[in-house]
Amino acid sequence: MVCWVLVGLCVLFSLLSAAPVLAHGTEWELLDGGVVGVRATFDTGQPMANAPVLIFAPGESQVQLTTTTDSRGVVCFAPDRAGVWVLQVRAEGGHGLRANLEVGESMLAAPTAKGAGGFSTWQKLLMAVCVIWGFTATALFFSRRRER
Amino acid sequence: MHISEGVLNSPVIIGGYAVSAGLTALALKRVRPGEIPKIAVMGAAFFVSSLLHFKVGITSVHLTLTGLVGIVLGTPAVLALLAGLFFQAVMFQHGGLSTLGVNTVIFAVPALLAYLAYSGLGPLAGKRHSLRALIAGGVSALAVLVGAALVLLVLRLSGEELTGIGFLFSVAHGVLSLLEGAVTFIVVRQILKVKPEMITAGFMPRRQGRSRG
Repeated sequence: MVCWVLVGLCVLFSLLSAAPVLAHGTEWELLDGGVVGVRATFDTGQPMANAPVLIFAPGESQVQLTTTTDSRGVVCFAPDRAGVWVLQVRAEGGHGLRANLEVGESMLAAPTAKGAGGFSTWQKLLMAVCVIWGFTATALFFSRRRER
Repeated sequence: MHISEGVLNSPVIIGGYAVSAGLTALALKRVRPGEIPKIAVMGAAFFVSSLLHFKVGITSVHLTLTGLVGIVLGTPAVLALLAGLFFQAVMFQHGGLSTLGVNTVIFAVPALLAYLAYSGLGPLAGKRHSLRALIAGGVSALAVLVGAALVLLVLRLSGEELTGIGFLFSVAHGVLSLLEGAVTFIVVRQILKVKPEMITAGFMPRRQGRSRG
Protein backbone atom coordinates (compact mmCIF):
# COMPACT_ATOMS: atom_id res chain seq x y z
CA MET A 1 0.00 0.00 0.00
CA VAL A 2 2.83 2.37 0.85
CA CYS A 3 4.34 1.40 -2.49
CA TRP A 4 1.64 3.00 -4.60
CA VAL A 5 1.57 6.06 -2.41
CA LEU A 6 5.18 6.38 -3.49
CA VAL A 7 4.27 5.73 -7.12
CA GLY A 8 1.69 8.51 -6.86
CA LEU A 9 4.23 10.86 -5.31
CA CYS A 10 6.69 10.17 -8.11
CA VAL A 11 4.03 10.97 -10.70
CA LEU A 12 3.24 14.18 -8.81
CA PHE A 13 6.75 15.44 -8.60
CA SER A 14 7.59 14.58 -12.18
CA LEU A 15 4.50 16.59 -13.18
CA LEU A 16 5.51 19.48 -10.95
CA SER A 17 9.01 19.69 -12.34
CA ALA A 18 7.86 19.24 -15.94
CA ALA A 19 6.06 22.53 -16.47
CA PRO A 20 6.16 25.00 -13.62
CA VAL A 21 3.62 27.36 -15.17
CA LEU A 22 0.88 27.58 -12.63
CA ALA A 23 -2.78 28.43 -12.88
CA HIS A 24 -4.52 29.86 -15.86
CA GLY A 25 -7.50 31.17 -13.98
CA THR A 26 -8.41 34.80 -14.37
CA GLU A 27 -6.62 37.58 -12.58
CA TRP A 28 -7.24 41.27 -12.08
CA GLU A 29 -5.29 44.30 -10.95
CA LEU A 30 -6.29 47.81 -10.02
CA LEU A 31 -4.66 50.18 -12.47
CA ASP A 32 -3.38 53.64 -11.87
CA GLY A 33 -2.52 56.21 -14.55
CA GLY A 34 -3.39 56.58 -18.21
CA VAL A 35 -7.10 56.82 -17.48
CA VAL A 36 -9.35 59.57 -18.84
CA GLY A 37 -12.52 60.37 -16.92
CA VAL A 38 -15.41 62.55 -18.10
CA ARG A 39 -18.41 63.77 -16.16
CA ALA A 40 -21.41 64.49 -18.42
CA THR A 41 -24.07 66.88 -17.14
CA PHE A 42 -27.05 68.73 -18.56
CA ASP A 43 -26.83 72.51 -18.48
CA THR A 44 -29.03 72.42 -15.40
CA GLY A 45 -26.17 70.68 -13.66
CA GLN A 46 -28.06 67.41 -13.47
CA PRO A 47 -25.83 64.44 -14.37
CA MET A 48 -26.48 62.38 -17.50
CA ALA A 49 -26.84 59.24 -15.46
CA ASN A 50 -26.79 55.73 -16.92
CA ALA A 51 -26.58 57.03 -20.47
CA PRO A 52 -25.05 55.03 -23.33
CA VAL A 53 -21.61 56.26 -24.39
CA LEU A 54 -19.78 55.73 -27.67
CA ILE A 55 -16.05 56.31 -27.78
CA PHE A 56 -14.14 56.76 -31.06
CA ALA A 57 -10.38 56.45 -31.36
CA PRO A 58 -8.48 59.23 -33.18
CA GLY A 59 -9.22 59.14 -36.91
CA GLU A 60 -11.51 56.15 -36.63
CA SER A 61 -15.14 56.12 -37.68
CA GLN A 62 -15.77 52.76 -36.07
CA VAL A 63 -16.77 52.78 -32.44
CA GLN A 64 -13.87 51.75 -30.27
CA LEU A 65 -15.82 51.22 -27.09
CA THR A 66 -19.45 51.35 -26.02
CA THR A 67 -20.25 51.78 -22.37
CA THR A 68 -22.61 53.74 -20.11
CA THR A 69 -22.15 56.52 -17.63
CA ASP A 70 -22.66 55.72 -13.97
CA SER A 71 -25.23 57.29 -11.67
CA ARG A 72 -23.08 60.44 -11.39
CA GLY A 73 -22.76 60.77 -15.15
CA VAL A 74 -19.11 59.71 -15.01
CA VAL A 75 -17.43 57.59 -17.64
CA CYS A 76 -13.78 56.50 -17.70
CA PHE A 77 -11.62 54.88 -20.32
CA ALA A 78 -7.93 54.29 -20.91
CA PRO A 79 -6.81 55.52 -24.34
CA ASP A 80 -4.05 53.50 -25.96
CA ARG A 81 -2.80 56.19 -28.36
CA ALA A 82 -2.48 59.96 -28.53
CA GLY A 83 -4.78 62.15 -30.64
CA VAL A 84 -8.34 63.45 -30.50
CA TRP A 85 -10.71 60.93 -28.99
CA VAL A 86 -14.40 61.56 -29.60
CA LEU A 87 -16.81 60.74 -26.85
CA GLN A 88 -20.56 60.72 -27.47
CA VAL A 89 -23.03 60.52 -24.62
CA ARG A 90 -26.60 59.76 -25.63
CA ALA A 91 -28.95 60.90 -22.91
CA GLU A 92 -32.66 60.33 -23.08
CA GLY A 93 -34.98 62.40 -25.28
CA GLY A 94 -32.40 63.06 -27.96
CA HIS A 95 -30.18 64.97 -25.57
CA GLY A 96 -26.57 64.17 -25.34
CA LEU A 97 -23.14 65.58 -25.79
CA ARG A 98 -20.15 65.16 -27.97
CA ALA A 99 -16.74 65.85 -26.54
CA ASN A 100 -13.41 66.01 -28.37
CA LEU A 101 -10.75 64.95 -25.93
CA GLU A 102 -7.17 65.88 -26.71
CA VAL A 103 -5.05 63.05 -25.47
CA GLY A 104 -1.36 63.89 -25.40
CA GLU A 105 1.53 61.44 -25.30
CA SER A 106 2.18 62.37 -21.69
CA MET A 107 -1.29 61.18 -20.70
CA LEU A 108 -0.60 57.71 -22.02
CA ALA A 109 1.36 56.68 -18.95
CA ALA A 110 1.55 52.95 -18.94
CA PRO A 111 -1.05 51.72 -16.50
CA THR A 112 0.67 50.45 -13.39
CA ALA A 113 -0.67 48.05 -10.86
CA LYS A 114 -1.76 49.64 -7.61
CA GLY A 115 -3.55 47.04 -5.54
CA ALA A 116 -2.81 43.41 -5.17
CA GLY A 117 -5.24 41.35 -7.20
CA GLY A 118 -3.47 38.04 -7.37
CA PHE A 119 -0.72 35.92 -6.01
CA SER A 120 2.85 35.67 -7.21
CA THR A 121 4.06 32.47 -8.78
CA TRP A 122 5.93 31.54 -5.62
CA GLN A 123 2.86 32.08 -3.47
CA LYS A 124 0.90 29.87 -5.85
CA LEU A 125 3.59 27.23 -5.72
CA LEU A 126 3.49 27.29 -1.94
CA MET A 127 -0.30 27.00 -1.97
CA ALA A 128 -0.16 24.11 -4.40
CA VAL A 129 2.46 22.32 -2.31
CA CYS A 130 0.35 22.79 0.83
CA VAL A 131 -2.72 21.30 -0.82
CA ILE A 132 -0.70 18.41 -2.22
CA TRP A 133 0.70 17.78 1.22
CA GLY A 134 -2.87 17.77 2.53
CA PHE A 135 -3.85 15.07 0.08
CA THR A 136 -0.69 13.10 0.66
CA ALA A 137 -0.99 13.29 4.43
CA THR A 138 -4.54 12.02 4.10
CA ALA A 139 -3.22 9.12 2.09
CA LEU A 140 -0.48 8.39 4.59
CA PHE A 141 -2.87 8.68 7.53
CA PHE A 142 -5.28 6.15 6.11
CA SER A 143 -2.57 3.80 4.93
CA ARG A 144 -0.76 3.62 8.28
CA ARG A 145 -0.52 0.26 9.89
CA ARG A 146 -3.03 -0.21 12.62
CA GLU A 147 -1.38 -0.85 15.93
CA ARG A 148 -2.95 -3.27 18.25
CA MET B 1 -12.60 22.75 -18.96
CA HIS B 2 -13.35 24.50 -15.71
CA ILE B 3 -16.35 26.79 -15.87
CA SER B 4 -15.89 30.00 -13.87
CA GLU B 5 -18.28 31.89 -11.66
CA GLY B 6 -20.88 34.02 -13.34
CA VAL B 7 -20.99 32.14 -16.63
CA LEU B 8 -23.91 29.83 -15.97
CA ASN B 9 -27.53 30.56 -15.15
CA SER B 10 -29.08 29.28 -11.96
CA PRO B 11 -31.06 26.28 -13.30
CA VAL B 12 -27.84 24.84 -14.72
CA ILE B 13 -25.94 25.53 -11.48
CA ILE B 14 -28.65 23.86 -9.39
CA GLY B 15 -28.90 20.97 -11.83
CA GLY B 16 -25.13 20.54 -11.64
CA TYR B 17 -25.23 20.38 -7.87
CA ALA B 18 -28.12 17.90 -7.97
CA VAL B 19 -26.38 15.53 -10.38
CA SER B 20 -23.03 15.81 -8.63
CA ALA B 21 -24.68 15.14 -5.26
CA GLY B 22 -26.10 11.93 -6.72
CA LEU B 23 -22.72 10.92 -8.10
CA THR B 24 -21.02 11.72 -4.80
CA ALA B 25 -23.53 9.63 -2.84
CA LEU B 26 -22.97 6.73 -5.22
CA ALA B 27 -19.21 7.10 -4.88
CA LEU B 28 -19.36 7.24 -1.08
CA LYS B 29 -21.33 4.00 -1.09
CA ARG B 30 -18.71 2.28 -3.21
CA VAL B 31 -15.62 3.32 -1.23
CA ARG B 32 -13.86 0.53 0.54
CA PRO B 33 -11.87 1.65 3.59
CA GLY B 34 -8.53 0.56 2.16
CA GLU B 35 -9.06 2.75 -0.89
CA ILE B 36 -8.96 6.12 0.81
CA PRO B 37 -5.19 6.66 0.41
CA LYS B 38 -5.44 5.85 -3.28
CA ILE B 39 -8.27 8.36 -3.68
CA ALA B 40 -6.25 11.01 -1.87
CA VAL B 41 -3.18 10.47 -4.04
CA MET B 42 -5.17 10.55 -7.27
CA GLY B 43 -6.94 13.65 -6.00
CA ALA B 44 -3.58 15.33 -5.51
CA ALA B 45 -2.44 14.29 -8.99
CA PHE B 46 -5.64 15.69 -10.47
CA PHE B 47 -5.29 18.91 -8.47
CA VAL B 48 -1.76 19.54 -9.73
CA SER B 49 -2.30 18.45 -13.30
CA SER B 50 -4.98 21.07 -13.84
CA LEU B 51 -2.62 23.81 -12.72
CA LEU B 52 -0.01 23.05 -15.36
CA HIS B 53 -1.07 24.43 -18.69
CA PHE B 54 0.24 24.24 -22.22
CA LYS B 55 -0.22 26.75 -24.97
CA VAL B 56 -2.12 25.52 -28.02
CA GLY B 57 -2.41 28.31 -30.57
CA ILE B 58 -4.00 31.28 -28.84
CA THR B 59 -5.68 29.32 -26.11
CA SER B 60 -4.25 27.12 -23.39
CA VAL B 61 -5.15 23.68 -22.21
CA HIS B 62 -4.16 21.74 -19.18
CA LEU B 63 -3.93 18.05 -18.45
CA THR B 64 -6.91 16.81 -16.50
CA LEU B 65 -6.00 13.15 -15.91
CA THR B 66 -9.76 12.51 -15.84
CA GLY B 67 -9.51 9.18 -17.63
CA LEU B 68 -6.58 8.03 -15.51
CA VAL B 69 -8.36 8.95 -12.27
CA GLY B 70 -11.48 7.05 -13.42
CA ILE B 71 -9.54 3.98 -14.51
CA VAL B 72 -7.49 3.77 -11.33
CA LEU B 73 -10.24 4.56 -8.84
CA GLY B 74 -13.51 3.40 -10.38
CA THR B 75 -16.64 5.02 -8.99
CA PRO B 76 -14.88 6.69 -6.01
CA ALA B 77 -13.07 8.82 -8.62
CA VAL B 78 -15.93 11.29 -8.10
CA LEU B 79 -14.59 12.03 -4.61
CA ALA B 80 -11.04 12.68 -5.82
CA LEU B 81 -12.35 14.98 -8.55
CA LEU B 82 -14.70 16.82 -6.21
CA ALA B 83 -11.92 17.41 -3.67
CA GLY B 84 -9.46 18.47 -6.37
CA LEU B 85 -11.94 20.87 -7.96
CA PHE B 86 -12.85 22.33 -4.58
CA PHE B 87 -9.24 23.21 -3.82
CA GLN B 88 -8.63 24.55 -7.31
CA ALA B 89 -11.64 26.84 -6.93
CA VAL B 90 -10.79 28.02 -3.42
CA MET B 91 -7.05 28.48 -3.86
CA PHE B 92 -6.73 29.56 -7.48
CA GLN B 93 -10.18 30.74 -8.62
CA HIS B 94 -9.85 28.01 -11.19
CA GLY B 95 -13.47 27.14 -11.67
CA GLY B 96 -15.66 28.44 -8.86
CA LEU B 97 -17.70 27.45 -5.85
CA SER B 98 -21.05 28.11 -7.50
CA THR B 99 -20.00 26.04 -10.48
CA LEU B 100 -18.41 23.29 -8.39
CA GLY B 101 -21.39 21.00 -8.99
CA VAL B 102 -21.38 21.51 -12.74
CA ASN B 103 -17.61 21.13 -12.93
CA THR B 104 -17.76 17.94 -10.89
CA VAL B 105 -20.24 16.53 -13.39
CA ILE B 106 -18.07 17.66 -16.31
CA PHE B 107 -15.09 15.79 -14.90
CA ALA B 108 -16.81 12.87 -13.18
CA VAL B 109 -18.94 11.68 -16.08
CA PRO B 110 -15.98 11.17 -18.45
CA ALA B 111 -14.04 9.55 -15.59
CA LEU B 112 -16.85 7.09 -14.91
CA LEU B 113 -17.30 6.38 -18.61
CA ALA B 114 -13.56 5.74 -18.90
CA TYR B 115 -13.81 3.36 -15.95
CA LEU B 116 -16.71 1.47 -17.54
CA ALA B 117 -15.07 1.34 -20.95
CA TYR B 118 -11.77 0.18 -19.54
CA SER B 119 -13.34 -2.50 -17.35
CA GLY B 120 -15.17 -3.74 -20.44
CA LEU B 121 -12.25 -3.61 -22.87
CA GLY B 122 -9.28 -4.14 -20.56
CA PRO B 123 -9.77 -7.89 -20.00
CA LEU B 124 -9.68 -8.43 -23.78
CA ALA B 125 -5.97 -7.64 -23.66
CA GLY B 126 -5.36 -10.48 -21.25
CA LYS B 127 -1.93 -10.26 -19.68
CA ARG B 128 -0.37 -8.06 -22.35
CA HIS B 129 0.40 -4.96 -20.35
CA SER B 130 1.23 -2.67 -23.24
CA LEU B 131 -2.04 -3.47 -24.98
CA ARG B 132 -3.96 -2.90 -21.78
CA ALA B 133 -2.21 0.43 -21.30
CA LEU B 134 -2.96 1.32 -24.90
CA ILE B 135 -6.65 0.67 -24.26
CA ALA B 136 -6.45 2.85 -21.16
CA GLY B 137 -4.78 5.60 -23.19
CA GLY B 138 -7.41 5.43 -25.93
CA VAL B 139 -10.23 5.49 -23.41
CA SER B 140 -8.69 8.53 -21.67
CA ALA B 141 -8.28 10.34 -24.97
CA LEU B 142 -11.97 9.83 -25.63
CA ALA B 143 -12.82 10.91 -22.08
CA VAL B 144 -11.29 14.33 -22.77
CA LEU B 145 -13.53 14.76 -25.79
CA VAL B 146 -16.57 13.71 -23.77
CA GLY B 147 -15.58 16.33 -21.17
CA ALA B 148 -15.20 19.04 -23.82
CA ALA B 149 -18.58 18.08 -25.27
CA LEU B 150 -20.12 18.35 -21.80
CA VAL B 151 -18.66 21.84 -21.37
CA LEU B 152 -20.18 22.93 -24.65
CA LEU B 153 -23.49 21.33 -23.72
CA VAL B 154 -23.57 23.04 -20.33
CA LEU B 155 -22.75 26.42 -21.87
CA ARG B 156 -25.47 25.87 -24.46
CA LEU B 157 -27.99 24.95 -21.77
CA SER B 158 -27.06 28.16 -20.05
CA GLY B 159 -27.87 30.13 -23.17
CA GLU B 160 -24.31 30.85 -24.23
CA GLU B 161 -23.91 31.13 -27.99
CA LEU B 162 -20.59 29.63 -28.95
CA THR B 163 -19.36 29.44 -32.48
CA GLY B 164 -15.79 30.63 -32.99
CA ILE B 165 -14.68 30.12 -29.44
CA GLY B 166 -16.49 26.82 -29.28
CA PHE B 167 -14.65 25.59 -32.31
CA LEU B 168 -11.23 26.60 -31.03
CA PHE B 169 -12.09 25.00 -27.78
CA SER B 170 -12.62 21.67 -29.46
CA VAL B 171 -9.41 21.90 -31.53
CA ALA B 172 -7.47 22.62 -28.36
CA HIS B 173 -9.16 19.70 -26.70
CA GLY B 174 -8.33 17.48 -29.63
CA VAL B 175 -4.67 18.16 -28.96
CA LEU B 176 -5.17 17.70 -25.26
CA SER B 177 -6.89 14.39 -25.82
CA LEU B 178 -3.82 13.02 -27.61
CA LEU B 179 -1.57 14.33 -24.86
CA GLU B 180 -3.75 12.90 -22.16
CA GLY B 181 -3.98 9.55 -23.93
CA ALA B 182 -0.18 9.41 -24.07
CA VAL B 183 0.24 10.29 -20.39
CA THR B 184 -2.37 7.72 -19.35
CA PHE B 185 -0.68 5.08 -21.50
CA ILE B 186 2.69 5.69 -19.85
CA VAL B 187 1.33 5.80 -16.31
CA VAL B 188 -0.95 2.78 -16.69
CA ARG B 189 1.80 0.70 -18.27
CA GLN B 190 4.10 1.57 -15.40
CA ILE B 191 1.43 0.75 -12.80
CA LEU B 192 0.64 -2.57 -14.49
CA LYS B 193 4.31 -3.44 -14.30
CA VAL B 194 4.88 -2.36 -10.73
CA LYS B 195 1.59 -2.68 -8.89
CA PRO B 196 -1.20 -4.09 -11.07
CA GLU B 197 -3.69 -4.39 -8.20
CA MET B 198 -3.64 -0.61 -7.87
CA ILE B 199 -5.92 -0.37 -10.89
CA THR B 200 -9.53 -0.98 -10.01
CA ALA B 201 -11.08 -1.24 -13.41
CA GLY B 202 -10.84 -4.56 -15.19
CA PHE B 203 -8.75 -6.08 -12.46
CA MET B 204 -10.65 -6.72 -9.29
CA PRO B 205 -8.86 -9.12 -7.04
CA ARG B 206 -10.73 -9.68 -3.82
CA ARG B 207 -8.32 -8.03 -1.51
CA GLN B 208 -8.27 -9.50 1.97
CA GLY B 209 -8.70 -6.48 4.18
CA ARG B 210 -5.47 -4.66 4.78
CA SER B 211 -3.16 -7.63 4.77
CA ARG B 212 -0.98 -6.11 2.04
CA GLY B 213 -0.08 -3.17 4.24
